[in-house]
Amino acid sequence: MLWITLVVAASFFVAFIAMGYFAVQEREEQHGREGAAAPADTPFAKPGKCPLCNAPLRRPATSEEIVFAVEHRIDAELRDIALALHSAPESFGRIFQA
Amino acid sequence: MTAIEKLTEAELFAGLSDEQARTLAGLASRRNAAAGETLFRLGDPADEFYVVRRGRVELTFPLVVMGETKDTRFQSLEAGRTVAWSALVPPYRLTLSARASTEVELLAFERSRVLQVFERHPVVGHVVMSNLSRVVAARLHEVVALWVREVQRNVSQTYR
Repeated sequence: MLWITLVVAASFFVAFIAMGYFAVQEREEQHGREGAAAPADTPFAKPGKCPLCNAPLRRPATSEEIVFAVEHRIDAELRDIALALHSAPESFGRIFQA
Repeated sequence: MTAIEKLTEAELFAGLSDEQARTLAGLASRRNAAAGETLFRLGDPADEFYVVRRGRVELTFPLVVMGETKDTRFQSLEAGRTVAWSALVPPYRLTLSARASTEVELLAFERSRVLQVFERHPVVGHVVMSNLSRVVAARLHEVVALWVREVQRNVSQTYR
């Protein structure tokens, strides 16, 4: 009877350890997925910075400043698109990623 | 460097032999513009196209900002690039405006005379139109990518 009790207790112990191990592993995988998704959100995570070249931006006040900001953005986008167009085929999809 | 060598370095005339380039060089007329000068306006009829020989040309589009229409730069083109290629594509209307951002020297080619050369020398026409399709495709890729990026930003901001 004592042997059976010991075997059952040991089984519970091993099962408990295994559950803990898998729970930790799943949590780490979830963190990894969140980390990989972060770059797509980066432009919105840095207000006041150019989403492409990270240059500091301030809110334009005059029409000239607005035009300058638009031209700066188009220049940066076209540079980035040109780089993506000349990159390896597997990273070609990057042309659509701002 | 001779005028012919210069011409075959232009994106539109790459791949032409010296003799073929000479045929086209005979049609070119030289244009100069001072910095800031408008070369053409959006919607104008496109009867001739240009190859930038020296300086920088800016293609612009009208942007309404605070109630004012401002010419806003879309792209800068330097030596060897083609300007006003709409002159070779129906309905022969310019779809952007252009201004010289530095002092520029252009080679102007009248469409009717260029098409006559293409009729007499179909190989020249084939080479030039193949190069033109590359120029047009590059613009298409750029514009589609810009548009998709803008749509993606709007979707990401709206449905965050």
